[in-house]
Amino acid sequence: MRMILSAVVWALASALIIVLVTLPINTRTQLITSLLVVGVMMVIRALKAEGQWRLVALAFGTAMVFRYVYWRTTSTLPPVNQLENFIPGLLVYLAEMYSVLMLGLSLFVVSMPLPPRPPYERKGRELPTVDVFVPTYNEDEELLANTLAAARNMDYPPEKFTVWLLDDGGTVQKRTSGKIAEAHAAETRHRVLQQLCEELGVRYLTRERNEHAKAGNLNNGLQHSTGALIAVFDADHAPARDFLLETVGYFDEDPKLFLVQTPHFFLNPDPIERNLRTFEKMPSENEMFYGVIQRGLDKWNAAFFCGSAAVLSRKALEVSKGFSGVSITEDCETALDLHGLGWHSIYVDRPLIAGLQPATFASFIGQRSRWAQGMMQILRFRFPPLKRGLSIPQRLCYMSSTLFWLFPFPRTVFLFAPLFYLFFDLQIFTSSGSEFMVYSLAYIVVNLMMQNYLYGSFRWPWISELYEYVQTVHLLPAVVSVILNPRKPTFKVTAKDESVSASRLSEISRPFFVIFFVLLVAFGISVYRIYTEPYKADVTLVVGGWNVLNIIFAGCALGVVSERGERQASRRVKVSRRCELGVDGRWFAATIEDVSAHGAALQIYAEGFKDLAVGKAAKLRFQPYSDMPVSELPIEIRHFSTAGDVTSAGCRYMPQKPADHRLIADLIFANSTQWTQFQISRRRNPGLIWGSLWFLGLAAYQTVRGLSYLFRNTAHDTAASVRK
Amino acid sequence: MKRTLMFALLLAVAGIASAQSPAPFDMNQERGPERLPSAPPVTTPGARPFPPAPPVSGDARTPAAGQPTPARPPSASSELAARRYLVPDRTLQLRGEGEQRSWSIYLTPDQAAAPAKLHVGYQNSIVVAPETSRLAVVINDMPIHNDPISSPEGYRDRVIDIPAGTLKAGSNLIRFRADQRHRTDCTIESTFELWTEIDPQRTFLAFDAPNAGRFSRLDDIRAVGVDNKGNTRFRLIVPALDQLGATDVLMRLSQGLALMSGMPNQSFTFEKTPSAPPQPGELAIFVGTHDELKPILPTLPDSTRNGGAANFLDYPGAAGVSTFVLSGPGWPAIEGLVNSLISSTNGAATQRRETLATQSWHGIDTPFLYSNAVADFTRLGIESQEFSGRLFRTRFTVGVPSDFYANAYGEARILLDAAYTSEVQPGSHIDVFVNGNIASTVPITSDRGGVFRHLPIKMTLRHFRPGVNTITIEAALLTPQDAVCAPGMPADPKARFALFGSSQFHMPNFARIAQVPNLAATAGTGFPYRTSPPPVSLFLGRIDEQTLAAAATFLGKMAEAAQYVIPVDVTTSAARVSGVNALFVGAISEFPANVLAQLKIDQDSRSNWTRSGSSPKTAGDQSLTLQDWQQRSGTNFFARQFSTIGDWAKENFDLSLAMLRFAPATEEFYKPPPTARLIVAQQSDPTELGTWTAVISPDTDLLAEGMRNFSTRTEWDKLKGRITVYEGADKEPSEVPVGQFRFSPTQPFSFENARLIAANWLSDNIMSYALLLGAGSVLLGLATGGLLSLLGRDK
Repeated sequence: MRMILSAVVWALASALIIVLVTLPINTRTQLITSLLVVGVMMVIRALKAEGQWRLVALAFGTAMVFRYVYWRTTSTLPPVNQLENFIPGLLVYLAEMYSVLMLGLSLFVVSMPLPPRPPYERKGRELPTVDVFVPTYNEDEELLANTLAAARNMDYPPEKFTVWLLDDGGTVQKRTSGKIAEAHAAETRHRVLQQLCEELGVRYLTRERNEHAKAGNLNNGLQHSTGALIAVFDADHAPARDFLLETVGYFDEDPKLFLVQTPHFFLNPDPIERNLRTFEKMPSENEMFYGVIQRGLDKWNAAFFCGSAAVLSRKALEVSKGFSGVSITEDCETALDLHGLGWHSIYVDRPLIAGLQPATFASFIGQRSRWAQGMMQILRFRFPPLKRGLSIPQRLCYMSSTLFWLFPFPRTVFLFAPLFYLFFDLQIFTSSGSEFMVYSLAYIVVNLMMQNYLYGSFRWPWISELYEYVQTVHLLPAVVSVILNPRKPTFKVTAKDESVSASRLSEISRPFFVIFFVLLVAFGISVYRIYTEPYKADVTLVVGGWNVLNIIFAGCALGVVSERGERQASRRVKVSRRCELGVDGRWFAATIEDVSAHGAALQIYAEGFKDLAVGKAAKLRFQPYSDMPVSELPIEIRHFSTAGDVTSAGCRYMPQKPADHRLIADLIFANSTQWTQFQISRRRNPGLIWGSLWFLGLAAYQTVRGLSYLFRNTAHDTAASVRK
Repeated sequence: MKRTLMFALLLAVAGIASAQSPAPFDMNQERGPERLPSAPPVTTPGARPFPPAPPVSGDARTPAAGQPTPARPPSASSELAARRYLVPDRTLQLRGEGEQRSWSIYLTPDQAAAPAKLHVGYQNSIVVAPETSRLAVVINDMPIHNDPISSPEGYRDRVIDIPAGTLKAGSNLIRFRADQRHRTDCTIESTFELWTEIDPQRTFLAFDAPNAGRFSRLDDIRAVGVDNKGNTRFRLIVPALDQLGATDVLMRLSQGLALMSGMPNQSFTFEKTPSAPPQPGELAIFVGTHDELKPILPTLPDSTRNGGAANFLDYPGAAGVSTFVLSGPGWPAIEGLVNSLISSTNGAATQRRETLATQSWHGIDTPFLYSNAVADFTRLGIESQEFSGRLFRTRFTVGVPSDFYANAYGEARILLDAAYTSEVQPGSHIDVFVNGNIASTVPITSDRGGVFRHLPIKMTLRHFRPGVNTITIEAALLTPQDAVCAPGMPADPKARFALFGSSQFHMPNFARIAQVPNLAATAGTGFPYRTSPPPVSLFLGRIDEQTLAAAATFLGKMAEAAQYVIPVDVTTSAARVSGVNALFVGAISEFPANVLAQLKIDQDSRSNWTRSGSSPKTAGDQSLTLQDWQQRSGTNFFARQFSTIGDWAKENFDLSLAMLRFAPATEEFYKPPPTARLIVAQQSDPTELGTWTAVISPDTDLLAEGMRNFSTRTEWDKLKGRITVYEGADKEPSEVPVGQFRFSPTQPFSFENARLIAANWLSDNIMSYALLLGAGSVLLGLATGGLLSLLGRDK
C-alpha cells in the first residue's frame, strides 16, 4: 500500500516536472530559472546536506537535464534538407543523448548506494569448505609466490580451505607446442610452479588444452575440487588474512547467494596516476566503481563478479554449468547468467585484496580493450535489457555497466565536432548565443554538479573525461572491431609486472600528439575567424571554447602518454611493526616502517652500529600474524643513513625458499585496515571550482611535460639517425 | 433635368444576398396614400425591386435658407465631385531602393466608364539618381506610368491619361512603386536617404463626366473615397438627433456605413442642419422623418411621407454631389431601413473569419491565422522577385484572433526560400520585423553564395497583437562592389538576391484565451463586442453632436474590425449597465464614480482633468522619487557592476528586475496627465462577466477631436494595453500596459491549449515558474527518496 502511494506520488511529481520543462517558456524565464536552480543546488551542496536533500538536489539537476534534452531535441537540430549539416548535427545530438542516457542510468544506480555492511560476525558457526583458485597464464614465479603465500596465510581453519594454482601456461597443449622454444618454456614453467606449490602447500592444476581461456581454466578447477565455496584471486591479487572470514558468512544467511564481491585495491598507481603523480592524493580511477557504483548496484541486487577478489557458491556455479565463456569478460557474464536464474549477489565495501595494476600505458589500454570488448560481447550475445529472469532494476544496472563502454563513440564525436565548424563551416547546432547560454551552459554546469554530487569524493572533476579521452583513442578501433566481429576477440592476459625504468614516450603515444596538433591548428583558426568574421564571432567563440576544452584534455593526455621512469617499482604501505635486524650474526632492535612488494624501510636502534654497507646481506626476524613461528627473512641493504642512535635503511627482500614468500606476504598483506585507511586519506572532495582549477593547472603542466618528452624523443631520434 | 433615384435597398446591393425579409417595407404599406407623383409607388414587398425614378439634377439648388455657405476653395463643387483622391493615408512616402504600396479603390459604374486622368504629384529626395530611379503606377495590372524620378526641388505634377477600359466598376487595384538608387553612395545607410513622397493632395483621379460624383446604387457608398489627407468622413445630418430613440438607430447606421465602405480612416460627424457641401471623401447622410428633413432638403420626395425610403439626392446647393437620404414617415420606418441596410452587409457573429478586410489600404485582404497555419508568401501578396540593390524590403500582413495569448513565449517561423549570389558578403543579414519591432535576424555567413530552401527563421510573437500584423522582411546585402562604390557602375547591375513566393509563414499552435482588458483585441477584431449576445450597452455622457460623433466613430471602427454590426442599446444611465459588455463615451465629468472606479481611473480626475490642463497638483508631483536618489547615489563600485549586469540582461534577454515577479502587479488608479486629450480605457465589469470600454475626454469637443484622430488606421492600431492616451495629433498615443487581467475562455478546454496558456502566463511571471519548478523538484526528490527506501535493498 505504502508502495503504491509512493509510486503514485513519484509518478505525479515526475509528470509535473515533465509538463513544466516541456512548456515552451521563453528564454528570459529560462535564464532566471537556470540561475536559481544552480543557486539552490550550490546551497544544498554547501550545506553538505545528505540523505533526502541529496536526492532533492539531484531532482533539481534532473529537471534541468530534461529541459535541455527537450530543447535540444525540438529546437537545435539542423534542418533535414541540409544534409551536410544535418548528419554531423545528428551525430553530436546522438552522442549527447547517449551521455544523458548514461547519466540517467547512473542516477538510477547510485541514487541511494547501500551503506557499507557491518563486519561479519563469526558467531561460532561452522565454516564452509573453500577452494581458493588462483588462475595464472604467464605471470612469473615470484609474483605467484607472493599471491599464493598470501592465500595460504589467510586466517581460516587449514583443513577447511585448499589453495589451487590453476596454471594455463603449463597445459599439455602448451608443453607439446610445435614451437620448440615455447614448448620448452612451458615445460620449465610447469616444473617450477609444481615445485613452488608443493613447498607452499598449494595444489597445482593444469589441463589438456587452453579452451575458453580463463573461464575454461576456472571450470577445470571446479571439476577437480569439492569445496562448497570458491574464492577467486587473480595471480597478482594477494588476499589479506581476513578475506575469507569477512566474506564466507554471508552464504549462511542467504542460501540463494552466489557471489560476495570485494573491491580491488591496488598497491601501485596505474600509468595515468603514475605519470600525472596523483596516486597519493587523488582517489584512484576504480574507486568510483568500487566505492560507489558497486554499492549502488548492490542495492538493486546487481553487484557483479569482477573476476577476482570474490567468493562464489559452487551450488550456483553448478546450476549455471560453471563460468560462462562466450565473452572475454567471463566474470560479468557469469554474474549476469546467475542473476537471470534468480540468484543473489552482495558487495562488501572493504578492500580485502591488494593487487597490481598494469605499469605501462600500453598494457593499461590492453586491459581496457579487453573489458570494453567483453562488455560489447555481453551486450551483443546476452543483451541485458531483454534478458529473461532479471528484475527491471537489474536490467537497468546491467545496461549501465555494458553501455558505458560505448563511450569512445561520443568522445570521438565531441572531440571532432568543433572541427566541422572551424574547418568546414558546417552549422551543426542551430541556436542563438543567448539560448546556448541559457540551456547548454546551464546543462553543462548542472551536469558537472550532479556528477560531483554523485561521485564527489571518489572522482574529481574532469578526471572521468580525461580517462575516457585517453582510452578513446585506442578503444574506438577495438570497440568497432568487436561490433563488426563479435566472436573475434580473444582473452589476452594483462601484463602487470612490467616497469618503466627510464622516462620515455609510450609506444602508442603518436595519435595523441597528432590530435593535439590538429586541435591546436583549429584553435588558431578560431582566433583568426573571430577577428576576420566578427559577424559570427559569438558562434565562433562558443565553438572555439569547446575546442579549447578538448585541447585541455588532449594536452593533459600528452602527459599521460609520457611515461615517467621510476626508481621505486611498487607502492609502499606503512606498517610500523617491531622486528630485529640480523647482520653478521648480531641482532639489533628495529621497526619496519613501510613495506612494498619488493622491499621494506627500517628504523634501526643501535649504538655503535657501523657494520652496515650497501649490498650487505642481512636477516629480518619478526613474528608473523599468520600461524607461523617467529621467522627470519633474508634481505639485502640497499641504502642507509644514520642520525644519532637511529639508522634508517632501505632493504630488498631476497627470498630463498617458498616460506620466505609467506613472510613477505605476511608483511605486506596481513593487515587490510591499512589499505582502507590509505583509501580514505585520498577521498576528499575538492569541489567543482577548486577541482576544475586544479585540473587546469595539471593539464597545463602535463601539456608542457608531454611536449618536452616529444622534443627530447625527436632530438634523440635525430641524433641516432645522424650517427648512423 | 431633375432626377431622383429611388430604389429598393436590398436588391440593389450587388452580389450580397440576404435571406432576411426586411421589415420597413411592410410598414410602408400602412402609411398614408399620398405619394410623390413623379416617383413610382412604394409597393408591397413582393413587388420589389423598385424601378429607379428619373434623376433629379441638383445643380440649380441653393442651400436651404438659414444655412451659411462656408468658404470654399475656388474650384467648383462639380469639379471637386469629379475628383477621386487616391492615397488612403495622410502621407505616402516610398522609401529605400524599392518600395511598393498597393491598395484598392471602389469606383461607381459612372466613374469607371468616364474618361479619367491620373494626377500624380510627388517630390523626391535630392540624392535619388534620376537615371536609375523610376516611379511606376499600375492600375489593375495595367502600367499607367513609369518614368524617372526627377523632382527633387519641389512637387511635380504629372497628369496621365488612363486608357479606357482600365478602370472597372467596383474594386480597382492601385499600385505605386518606386525603384530608387542613390546618386553617389553605395552604403546601406545611404538607402535610408532615398524617398519619394507622393502628395495626397495632388494625387487623384479626375473624371471627365458630370455624373462622376453621383451615387445611384447603394453599393456606390463604397465609392465614398478619401479626402486629400486620406480620411473618409460620414456626415450624418439628423435634425432630431437629440431624441433618445434615434440614437440606437444612428449608431447602427454608422456601423453599417462603416462596414459598407470599409475605408481605413473613417469617422463620423453629426449635424442638425446641413453645413458646407461635402468634399471628396465625405458623404453626407440625411436621416430623419419626412417632416424633419423637408425644410432642409427640399428635393426630398414626398413619397417618404408615407413610406420609408432611402434615396440618393444631390446635396443642397452642390450639384453633382450625391447625398444619401434615409427618410420615412416616422423613426420606426427609418429604423426598418437601417436594419435592412445592415442586414445586407453584416456578417454573422459566430462565423469563423478567414480574412481581415485590408484591401482598402493593403491591396489584398489579410488571412486570419489560427493555430498551426501555414501561408505561402504568394497568398500573402509576395511574389518571387529579384533584387539588385543593397537593402531589400518587403512586407506582408497576417491576422491573429483576439484570444491570441502567446506574446510572452511564442515563436512563429518563416520558412524562407531565398538565394544570394557569391557577390554577397558575410556580414549581410536578413531581418524580420513585426509591427516595426525587430523579431529575428539571420546572418549570411557564406561568401560563396547560397540558396536557402525553407530555411526556418524563428521569430518571436512578442509584438503580435490581435487583428492585423505587419511583418517586414529586410535583407541588408553587402558586396565588394558597394564597398568600392566606383562611379559609373552599370545602371542596372545584375540581381544579387532573390526571394521566392514559395516561402512560407508558419504560425504554430498558440495559446488561445481572451484577456480582459485588452484594447488591442477590441481594436483588432472588435473583441468582446463582436461575440457578446445581448445588445451592448452604450452609455453616452450626453446626447449631442460631439458625443454622438465620437461614439459613432468608435463603433464604426469596431464594426469594421469585427466585420459585424454590434447591436447597441443606448442609455444615459449607468445604473443599467452591469453584467454585460458596455461602451461608455463622454466627458469625464459625466462619468459616474463607480464606472471610473471600475476602470481604475482616479476619481479626482473628474475635477482635475480639464481642457486647460493646468492641474494645480501636477507641478510638484513627480519631481522627487526614490529612484532619482538611487540613481544619484548609485556610483559606487558594486552599484556599477550591478547596473552593468542589468544592462546586459536587458540587452540580451530583455530582462529587468521588475520582471522577477510571481504574479502581475496590482494596478494603481490611473490619473490622466493634464496634457491628455482623450483616453480609451478598458476593464472587466464588476461582475467579471462583461467588459467595459470607455472613451473619455475632459470635454465633448476634445472627445470628438480625439476620436477623429483615432479613426485613422495608423492611430487606431495603437490602441492597446488597458488605457491608451491621446495627447494631441503631434504626439504618439501612449499606453498604460495591462497589469492584472481576467481570462475569458474562448475555446473548449483542451490540454494542449491549457499547456500553452500556462506557458505564456509563466513566461510572464518568471518567479512563479521558478517556484513551481523548484516545488516540483523538491517533491520529486522527496518522492524518489520515499520510493527508493521501499525499493531494492536497504542494508
